[in-house]
Amino acid sequence: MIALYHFEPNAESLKLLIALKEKAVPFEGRYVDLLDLEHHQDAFRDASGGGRVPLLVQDGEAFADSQLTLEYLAEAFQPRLAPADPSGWYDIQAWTVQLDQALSAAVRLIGWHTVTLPAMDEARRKDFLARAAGLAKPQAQAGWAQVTSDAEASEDQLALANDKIAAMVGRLEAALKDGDWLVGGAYSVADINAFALAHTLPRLLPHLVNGETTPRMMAWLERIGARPAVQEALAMGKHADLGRDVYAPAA
Amino acid sequence: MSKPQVWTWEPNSNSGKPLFALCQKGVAFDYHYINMTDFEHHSPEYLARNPAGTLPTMEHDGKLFTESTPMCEYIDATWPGHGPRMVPDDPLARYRMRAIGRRITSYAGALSVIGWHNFVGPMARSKTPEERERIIARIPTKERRIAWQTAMNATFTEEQLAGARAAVGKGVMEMEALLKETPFLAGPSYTIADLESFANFYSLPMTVPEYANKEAAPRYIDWLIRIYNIDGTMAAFGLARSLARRAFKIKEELEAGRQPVQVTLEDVQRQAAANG
Repeated sequence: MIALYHFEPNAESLKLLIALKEKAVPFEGRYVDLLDLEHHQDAFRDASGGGRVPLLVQDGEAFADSQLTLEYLAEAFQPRLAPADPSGWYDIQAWTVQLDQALSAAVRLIGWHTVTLPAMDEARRKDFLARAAGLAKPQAQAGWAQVTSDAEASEDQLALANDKIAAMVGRLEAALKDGDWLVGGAYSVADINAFALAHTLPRLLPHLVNGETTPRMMAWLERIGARPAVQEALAMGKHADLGRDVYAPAA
Repeated sequence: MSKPQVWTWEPNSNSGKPLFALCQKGVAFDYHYINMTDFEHHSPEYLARNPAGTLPTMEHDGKLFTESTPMCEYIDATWPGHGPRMVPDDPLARYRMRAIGRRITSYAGALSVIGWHNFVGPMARSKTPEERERIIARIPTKERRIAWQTAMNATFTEEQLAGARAAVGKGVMEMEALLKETPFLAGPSYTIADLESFANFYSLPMTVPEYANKEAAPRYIDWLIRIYNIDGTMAAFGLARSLARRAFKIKEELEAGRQPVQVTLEDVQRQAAANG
């Protein structure tokens, strides 16, 4: 029996939702609303050993590291969606590390600033930030304080995030020059991983990802987005009021 | 199958991972020493193989590998008949190995603050301002240029250093807790979780003796001694030319039941001059 605690179908939550759907693994989806700070409620923190979302639980074993959980799903369930030979598996793992370093934090930062925060009205934002400031754990408070203080700030940070994303977009476009998929000539968890982190970029950073400058990446996003499993995963969101893409900082 | 080529610095932190994996498995390879304190990893020759300028880089059968932990999985899977298997077969055991390795090595950032303070910073600052400018200018990404510039010029406050030491101490306690359950970090046998944690934390009894000692962390100390004695570990340290030569002293002292004394910057520079 598998349960997946997840937030909106984006980034870390999305990659696990897609992998489970693609492999037709039965699971119970449990929506955790990060914007209601549900992951900081005692019941969830105790169950999850720290409050990380997404969290996959299988027969009592908690999988809290979503990058590595994706690799686990590749190896534990068929179809594998990853090469089994050492060289191909290295490519999967290398993409995992590099996508995480280049995109995870950068996309989250830009998304939070350009989509989630502006979409909240003043009252909602105030209420949200006040509750974040009242969290029991000093560590969680510090995480949110960081986010709220850079709400106004840091053009530098945003510019650096933009540069990091631009470099990875260039790499993805180059990698798709030789074929339709990132690794081994077939759809794999590397594509799932990259799609989950990058599928909102044409809307979030249209100057970087568009039909003219990155035609291969646009076609690849459409190819993956058209898959039935991916569409099912993308339909598992709840924050329709904030628009299609919701970003919450990791805290 | 061709002989792997490895371009890397000392058997220390990420640089050391492929060296430990290849030496412990007994796979022959060619070692190309990249002097990190001279910033040779940002030279045009190095960047031609690894444009990100990270250490280490390995080449095997015409393919380049630059991610140090996946590289170790590749080495284990490519030479299954050499030495012990370092990756379990079961998917759940593999997940645990990777998650524990990632979690424990997340403390390496705090350790590198101490390493910068003690060794790398002073070594970098001993260069002329012109040399330093030149070194910074050829770093491939803006993010890393900013990081190196800050690190080269920065001196850490007592408070920052104490914070870094406490964070590393927390890492020691996490290892100690895991080793209470099993003889190795991720289960009954040696895996890449141990390899990558050892590569980062083999020197803690010397660096943070207030946390890494046999009273506070007896299982961690025993675990270190066990890994120092795995075939191939000391062969890897034998490749060191400067900082990681300290491993010989640490092993000797731990085996004699003593706490090793921190090596000084002068010791490291003397080693470097003798082996350069």
